[in-house]
Amino acid sequence: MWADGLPNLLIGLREGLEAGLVVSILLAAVRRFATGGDRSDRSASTAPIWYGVAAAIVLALSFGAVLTFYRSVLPTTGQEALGGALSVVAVILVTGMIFWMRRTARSLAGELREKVAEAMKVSTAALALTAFLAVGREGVETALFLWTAAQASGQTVAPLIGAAIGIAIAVLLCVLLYKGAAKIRLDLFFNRTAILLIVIAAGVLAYGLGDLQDAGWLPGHSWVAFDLSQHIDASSWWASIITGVTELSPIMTWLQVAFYLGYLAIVLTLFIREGRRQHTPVGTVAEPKSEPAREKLATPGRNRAIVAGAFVLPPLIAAALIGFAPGSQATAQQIMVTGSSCAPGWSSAQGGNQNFTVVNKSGHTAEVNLIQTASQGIVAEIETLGPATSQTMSATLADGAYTWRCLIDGMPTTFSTQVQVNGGGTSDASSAPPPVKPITADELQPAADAYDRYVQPKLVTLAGQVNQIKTDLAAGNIPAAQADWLQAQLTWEQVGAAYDSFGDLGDAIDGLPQALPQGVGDPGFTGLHRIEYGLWHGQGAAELTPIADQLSSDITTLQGKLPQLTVDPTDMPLRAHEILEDALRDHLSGMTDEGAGAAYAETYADVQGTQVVLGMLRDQIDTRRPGLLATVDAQLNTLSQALLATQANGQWQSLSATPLAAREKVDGTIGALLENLSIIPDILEVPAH
Amino acid sequence: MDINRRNVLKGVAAGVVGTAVTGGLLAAGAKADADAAAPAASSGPASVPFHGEHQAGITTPQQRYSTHAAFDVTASNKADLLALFKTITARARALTGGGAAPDLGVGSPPSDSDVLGPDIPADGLTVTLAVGSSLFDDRFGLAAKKPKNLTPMKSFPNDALQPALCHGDLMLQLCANSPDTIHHALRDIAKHTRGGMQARYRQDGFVSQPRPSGTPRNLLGFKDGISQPPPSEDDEILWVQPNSGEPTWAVGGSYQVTRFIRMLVEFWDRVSINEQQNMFGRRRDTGAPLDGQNEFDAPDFAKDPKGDVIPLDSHIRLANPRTPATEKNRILRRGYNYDNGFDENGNISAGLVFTCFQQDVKRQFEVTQTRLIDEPLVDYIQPFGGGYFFVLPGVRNSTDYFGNGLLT
Repeated sequence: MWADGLPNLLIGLREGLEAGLVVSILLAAVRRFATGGDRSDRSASTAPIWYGVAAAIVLALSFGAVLTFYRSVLPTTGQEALGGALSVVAVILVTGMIFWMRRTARSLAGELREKVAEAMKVSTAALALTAFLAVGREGVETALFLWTAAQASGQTVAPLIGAAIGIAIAVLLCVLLYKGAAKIRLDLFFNRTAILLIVIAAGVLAYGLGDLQDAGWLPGHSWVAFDLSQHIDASSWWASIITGVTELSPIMTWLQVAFYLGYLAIVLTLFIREGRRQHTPVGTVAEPKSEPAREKLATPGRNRAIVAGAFVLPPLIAAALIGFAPGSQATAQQIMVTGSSCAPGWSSAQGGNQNFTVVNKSGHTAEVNLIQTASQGIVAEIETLGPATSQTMSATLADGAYTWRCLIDGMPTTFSTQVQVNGGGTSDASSAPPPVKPITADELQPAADAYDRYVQPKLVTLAGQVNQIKTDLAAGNIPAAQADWLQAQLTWEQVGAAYDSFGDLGDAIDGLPQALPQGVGDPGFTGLHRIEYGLWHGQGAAELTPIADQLSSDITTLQGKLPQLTVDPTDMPLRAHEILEDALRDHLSGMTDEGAGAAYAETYADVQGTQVVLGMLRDQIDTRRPGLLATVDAQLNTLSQALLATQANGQWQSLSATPLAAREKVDGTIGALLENLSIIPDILEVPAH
Repeated sequence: MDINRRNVLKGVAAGVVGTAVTGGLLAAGAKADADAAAPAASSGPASVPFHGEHQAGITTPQQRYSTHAAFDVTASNKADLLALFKTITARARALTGGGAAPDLGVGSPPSDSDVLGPDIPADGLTVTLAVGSSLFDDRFGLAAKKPKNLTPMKSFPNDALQPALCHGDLMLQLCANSPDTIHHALRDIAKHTRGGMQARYRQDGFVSQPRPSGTPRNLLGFKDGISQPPPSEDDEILWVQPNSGEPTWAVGGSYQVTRFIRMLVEFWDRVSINEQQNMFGRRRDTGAPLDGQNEFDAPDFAKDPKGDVIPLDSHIRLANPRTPATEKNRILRRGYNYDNGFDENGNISAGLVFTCFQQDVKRQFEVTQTRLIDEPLVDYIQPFGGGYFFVLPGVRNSTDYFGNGLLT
């Protein structure tokens, strides 16, 4: 948990330094002016800066509140454009401030106190604005960082404490700078801090331009000068301090580099030249400060209104945004899952196609359903929503009442309040897909039991048919053995829904040679397809009888184990389409043919197997998707007819011997049928949690 | 006011330099952005209108990628055939327009594969549906409505047609700016039409970039498709006209010939450049006719009656003799290169998906191809598949559908 705090500590440190350095220098400078280098009076003159700082903090807090409570997602481009524009304005102000200080310092030297006071008065607003911008843009950014971090970690305490510690360290560093600055002679102070300010401002300019490029307001986002992000861990403590002080990032575009260097070259040159032109040691002047200067530095009434506005407006705007957001057609509504509540604050919804962003702050994996009250059916679901993640989810809502349901393992299921949707009859609302009534494993158990009862006698039949093959082999009657092999193979196909339940025994009975190291000659190639291979490749009793004996014994073993090998009830709906998916994949592709050319015969048996499974699920399917069974039954009949139509003289033909039109009919029909069968696992899906 | 002229000049100069540098940086940045974005937004139109008098994918600008997929109809009666055509219409309309796939709720597998992401781009997709002569057999009672010259594709001397790769009830030509768009469209249309039509064969293709400019090259290294009939002659060359002896429903349609032509590129690469150029009648480097300077110069066969410059049996001379009598034989070509890997001997299996459109397949393609019989080029090319099809008239509006008039 505390690991979440460290990155935020560094964020706080970096952002705090970024904002604090400018403010500290401003404070120190104004203090020195107001006192003319004499530290005896520390009362009123820095007030505008503090107003600016305070207003910026209010702005940042308001922004944080909007992020936390607003239901919509803030577009990152908007945040970048705002931050970038504020940065550029801040640079212009700071630059003006540097030269203003330089000139004012000269005035001081000339002992023209009135002029100083005049200048200070004019710049009261500028001072406040500069402080506001310096702190405001970092504050907004810090709020966003913290919000994102809290969102990602699913908790709020550790990130906030981490950030607070970071900001405290930054403030401490700034205080030290301020104290240090206060002890230096004013001319030295100017030379040092002004140059520091120019370097910082150059970084802010580059950074702001980068933001504007990211936002798409300026071109050149992808024209990168250098990218050290692979070599530098931007979240390390030292990288945080360097970026905090210089505002430079590991990736910079050419525009950023050019303006950074250009700004430094031009402003430093001008600054130094101005200093040379009329350099006077100002720090030595120690005049007592005059009353009018202080009076004029105090915030006059008109400015007081502006300051009051700066304090009051952001919270008001934030409150308005939060308060009126739900009514303003947010594109993606945010749904929250916490350990104790499900979608708290969900109070209204529109009809038609809706997008939700579901955020899991429960600290556990959750399943989230949106349920239509009338049908108790699920309209939309996220089956697995990891802790501290969010996912989008879309749902088409018809008119009616809806409730969110949150399922978390080992915790009680929670529900949201019920919300009435009135779509106003929009077209997509009327075409909303039917909700799905959830099903439990218990409800599917009877079908699984019925299937187990169905398999038992089939295996008895199979054992008898294998014995018949052995009799044929002993008599040397290969054609009879081939005919009996087909019957045995088809019996096995009909228990297809149980394949997976049989494990290794299933492979022993019906395995294929493709994956075996020695192919058809592999000793592990046993069972029905091995016999098929032998019967159609000139092998006789000598080779095949031992294999048939092995097959008999495997079937006997399977019969003995059958009571333990029960069908998983949640698998039954899957089998409804998988038996024929397997037929398409394995039989109709010719992959399972070891010589008999029985693909169509086997597929025909698979149709029968599918019909058996569907018969056991009929009621469950019918209550959830009326009409589906009728369609599927008709398509199964069409497929049976198409398969029988491949026969010649009542005999099954191989794939290659079948005319193209007949093949296409089978392939087309089974494809159309599978599209409909694939709905069954979805409407009979047992929830995972 | 005391104005220092030197300072003013300095200021102006600084301003000009600053503006120039800033402008240059911004312009270079914009270009870099455009370049970076280029692979995602490939060249070609974002979308091509689906509705119109004629189908898209014939005279609309040629996209870079294609598939030609033939299907056989498995629908068992005329009503099911109509339903099939309406489904193809609906899917083509949706896919060529782009947009999010419909939400089928939790009770179905997802409606779309997401191969193109959740918000499906049109990406210049065109879906062009044509019918083969076999659709007019006795299955659907359409014999009386068959376009008069629609037959199975003729086997010309030197062809090596493989029956499994020829003909078909339907021909779906899908073209788009990127191959995944075509894959997605084909997969979507097949999913929605299962049981109604069954895939028969398919050939993917691509158009090469112009190298270095002008008409793209085929895999024999020659610029291919330089000379095409102008759009002003579409009504004489391309579209079936009223009162032309064709069924009324066919007006606005066009005959399509698609032939998969293997190019024996290893053999070709062992042929001297002079022989290659004489076989085509054009220069390989510039595409200019052998009697011209530039790619788009028109060859003057009349000035060269004995074929001293452009041999009489060269491809361009046989294909289009440029005489008044042969003007009506011209065709609109819209071919794609294909590359299918290696053949069983380890030779590159590549060539041309030759596709042309015309008002009358007999008067145009067959006459042209008959002139080309035994051209010297035949040693290096092997037509092995494809067919004759009739491109249905365009779907005119949101209530219209393919086969309107043919099936109703």
